[in-house]
Amino acid sequence: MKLIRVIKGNCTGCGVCINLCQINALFLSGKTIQIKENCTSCMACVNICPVHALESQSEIYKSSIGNLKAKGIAILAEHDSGRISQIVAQLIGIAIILKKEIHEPVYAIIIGSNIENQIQELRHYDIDEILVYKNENLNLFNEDIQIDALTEIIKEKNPNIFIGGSTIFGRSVLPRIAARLSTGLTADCTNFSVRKGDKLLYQTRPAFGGNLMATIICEKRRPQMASIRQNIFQPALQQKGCNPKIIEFKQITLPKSKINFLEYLETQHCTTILSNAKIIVSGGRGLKEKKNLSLIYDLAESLGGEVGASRAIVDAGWIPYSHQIGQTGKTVNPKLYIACGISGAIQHLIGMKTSDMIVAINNDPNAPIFRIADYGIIGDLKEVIPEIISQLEKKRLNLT
Amino acid sequence: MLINIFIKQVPESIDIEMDAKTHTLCRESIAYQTNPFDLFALEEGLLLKEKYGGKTRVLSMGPPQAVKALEESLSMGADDAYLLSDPLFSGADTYATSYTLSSVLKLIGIGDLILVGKQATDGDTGQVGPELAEHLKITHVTNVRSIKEIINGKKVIISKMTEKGTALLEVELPALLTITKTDKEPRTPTLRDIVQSKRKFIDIFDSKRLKIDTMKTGLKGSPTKVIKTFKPEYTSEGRIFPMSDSISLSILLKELQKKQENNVE
Ligand SMILES: Cc1cc2nc3c(=O)[nH]c(=O)nc-3n(C[C@H](O)[C@H](O)[C@H](O)COP(=O)(O)OP(=O)(O)OC[C@H]3O[C@@H](n4cnc5c(N)ncnc54)[C@H](O)[C@@H]3O)c2cc1C
Ligand SMILES: Nc1ncnc2c1ncn2[C@@H]1O[C@H](COP(=O)(O)O)[C@@H](O)[C@H]1O
Repeated sequence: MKLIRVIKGNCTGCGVCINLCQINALFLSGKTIQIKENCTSCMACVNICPVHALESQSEIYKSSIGNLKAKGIAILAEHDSGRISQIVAQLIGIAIILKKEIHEPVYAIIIGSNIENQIQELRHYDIDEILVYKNENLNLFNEDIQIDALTEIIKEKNPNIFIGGSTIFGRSVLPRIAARLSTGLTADCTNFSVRKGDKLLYQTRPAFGGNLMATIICEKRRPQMASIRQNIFQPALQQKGCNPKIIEFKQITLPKSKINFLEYLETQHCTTILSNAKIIVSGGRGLKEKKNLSLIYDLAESLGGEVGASRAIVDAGWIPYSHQIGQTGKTVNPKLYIACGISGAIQHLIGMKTSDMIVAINNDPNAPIFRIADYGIIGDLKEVIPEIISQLEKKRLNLT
Repeated sequence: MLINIFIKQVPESIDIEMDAKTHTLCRESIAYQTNPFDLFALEEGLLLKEKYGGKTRVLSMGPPQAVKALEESLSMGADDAYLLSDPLFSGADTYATSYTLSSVLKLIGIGDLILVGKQATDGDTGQVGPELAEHLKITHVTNVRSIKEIINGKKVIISKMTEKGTALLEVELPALLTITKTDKEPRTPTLRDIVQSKRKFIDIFDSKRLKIDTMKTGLKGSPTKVIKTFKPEYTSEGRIFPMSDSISLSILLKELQKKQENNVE
């Protein structure tokens, strides 16, 4: 689709764009550039043209909403049980790095009913403003009205960049806010950089279960929105002497929520917070029997980690679905992942292959899990795991 | 109950090739399946219809071969199927996709309940559901593990998976739910189901029939743009050794201990 137009009066025929074009859709006719039909409107030439002689005719690229005025880096400070969530320090960490590049203030947005503690926590970070909205009707689940409140704050503040966590909450509210503001949203980012000059955010994320990375931009709409993958970015540290300004949004009024929380079911099973865990020990069908799952729990406990599972043992009913890792389960990203009796089917690998260090215990030397493992032990998990646990205990005793 | 279920055809293998120039999928050379979470959404929809009566519709946007996925849904028991297909829809990001999907429901009715998968295995965003709900101005809930009950056609009781556990919620209809893996395995159609479903008709909409502004669809209508794709390197100089190799085992133990100590800090 050819959506690019040449503004004849501006074009000097310098040819910079011809060299840039990947598909040879541009040529010089006389002293002006012409565009062939095979043009894919990738916009590369529009962006590079030194004399603004190329223009996009796409609606999106023509309308630059609040583009010039948008300023600041906003982060979504989600919280739970009276504390800000772990992801928030990571968001502040990346916001501070971006601030060094684009010299715009950092805002943390927090909304809720009883949030004094959380605001106090935020005050110890090196940020410029805390944007607060309090309403006693807000609870953990009425996301519909939280979206209303958050969108109002964003509209009012008009930030250049708005990032949140790719947590369950972030993945629910951010897309909706983006759609309401008619802007783009890049999910689950693992890297950012900024183009100098126009402060365009290059957002890099995995797709296809991590088999492919894509770098994405949102040129003409603001804010530039992204959610970040958990545990990838270095968290900011709390400091003394930070004094962010607290700005309360009092004027927002909210409708009644259409979502009503009734009760928690099965919290006892689901206490694993796998997506945040630094160490995960996972078990698969190689455990053979449900009772051997205790080996996994023991090893996890001695390392201070959480317990994960392959689909095989979730389907067998040995462990709840909330522990399942992989394509139809959770994506995790711990510092250490120990796979015990897991063959390493691609659907499982998708959920854990970006872990910092992968250890596999399997009695089949040809198990595919060994191909991505940093350390592998070929052996029967019923012998290997107790051995590891006892060695770890011994070392601990020697140390103390 | 009128239930709309959105399904997406995704590559079967996620080990894929991208077109180096357009940064879009090389769609020709690969096998496709229905996105696994969408089958759970469909199963949930079919069970609701069996319990409360009404109608289930499956809808998809994609190239012409996406009819295959719709045919599969019809053979599983969906009543009607709609395909949104037009070259002007291609290259859409989640914003343009959800806008296009919303426009068909504005024509044929949004019904009582809209079900989508938690996320698609190709793009892995999970954004289309909530964005679609926004375009339709209806409530949404993500990560739904099961639909328990419909009350007087006005409310739905669902359980949502959260980081802490499963929560029971009551939501006013119409609503959009994104469905994660449930305990109800999607049904396998019998040969008879397949033969009978051949008689069902798949209604295909292009941009003209949708009466949609094509400046808002496809690559053109997408606020985001992919400017680069690359294959990540996972360098693992794996050290694999047998259990009996005690020296190697002690190297591993040292590593584990380091992680253990870092974790405690
Ligand atoms: C659409 C779809 C989605 C899926 N989603 C997921 C997902 O989200 N997560 C997921 O995990 N899977 C998923 N799967 C399933 C996946 O393809 C595999 O079937 C599953 O991961 C296998 O689990 P496993 O490794 O525990 O079992 P197996 O493949 O049976 O492997 C067991 C392993 O244990 C080893 N073993 C046996 N005995 C011992 C012993 N005594 N000591 C040490 N090792 C031993 C064996 O050598 C073998 O390698 C999905 C499949 C499909 C089709
Ligand atoms: N092109 C499409 N056609 C129909 N449904 C879609 C399409 N894209 C996404 N969806 C639905 O939205 C869900 C989430 O997709 P995604 O946001 O791409 O991860 C999928 O599981 C589908 O139910």
